[in-house]
Amino acid sequence: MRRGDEAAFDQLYAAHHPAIYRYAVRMCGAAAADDVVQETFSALLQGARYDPARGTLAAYLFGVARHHILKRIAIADQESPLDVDPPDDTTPFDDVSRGQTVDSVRAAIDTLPPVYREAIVLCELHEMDYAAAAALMQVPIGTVRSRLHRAKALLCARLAPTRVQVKVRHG
Amino acid sequence: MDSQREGLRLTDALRAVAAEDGALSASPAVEQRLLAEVRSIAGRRRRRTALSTIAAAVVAVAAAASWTMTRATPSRATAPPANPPSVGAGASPPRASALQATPFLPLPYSGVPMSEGGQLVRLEVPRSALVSFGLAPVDGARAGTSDTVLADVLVGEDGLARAVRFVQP
Repeated sequence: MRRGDEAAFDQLYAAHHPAIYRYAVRMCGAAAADDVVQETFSALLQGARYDPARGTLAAYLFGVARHHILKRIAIADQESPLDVDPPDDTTPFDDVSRGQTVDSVRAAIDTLPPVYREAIVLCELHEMDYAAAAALMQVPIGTVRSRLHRAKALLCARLAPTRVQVKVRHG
Repeated sequence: MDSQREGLRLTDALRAVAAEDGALSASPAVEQRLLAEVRSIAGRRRRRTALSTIAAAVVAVAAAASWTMTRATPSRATAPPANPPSVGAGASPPRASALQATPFLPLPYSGVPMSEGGQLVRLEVPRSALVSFGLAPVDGARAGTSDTVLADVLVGEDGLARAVRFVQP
């Protein structure tokens, strides 16, 4: 690909860019996700060193993407406060349809602080195993577990009011 | 119990989000911009290759010209050395002679592997070149008549010189 082989680029891009894009969308929004994808693959084209001995190409690309995502998060200072509304006694998912749930869960993920959002995005949405997520996030596996646990608690808490707030999904 | 149920429902909801997100991908404009970058890299690479080929050809022509000139000047050109070069395969040494010569001395960039083939080119070089190889120009006083010495340069097929030996006239 670094030799300017278009076929090799097409193959690699098709195989890896959707996952990178989805990761970026959930971490820093759709507006920035295109740029993150471009910066990630551009870095590879410009000679960023990928060492197969240190992990898969997918993990490497996630690492490059993460670097750009964190830069954008830092610049935008999009962190949400950690304090959450206390949940009520009912299950937040009881009264909403599947479509409404997807919308409200997606919105709730977007409001999580980045460290918890990342744990949810990688381990739940991308189904990345804890070891791979820990390597990418550069934290111990235990930290990934605790962040994921905390993220789920925050999601449940934030979804509680959605019983009355979510819009009805049409189509 | 409720929290367990909530957890399961949340997991379900997250799977639904993941399934819907599965259709997401970057805009086609991103791919187009990256493809343009790939084409630009290919263009730069082609230009570099062309320049390298031209440079190698120039070196080869210059070496061949020097060799021809040396052979055409009987007073300067001497018969080639008796010992074939020990550096590289396929080099074809000039004709044998009884002249004394130093061993082949590798040139600084001679770590580049020598491909099959190559040429042994006899040149006249300034006597001071001996010093740069750690050889005292002791023959200068004896020769007296010339500021140059003969050198056999081993040139690979890529036009790069790999080693040199000095020949005592």
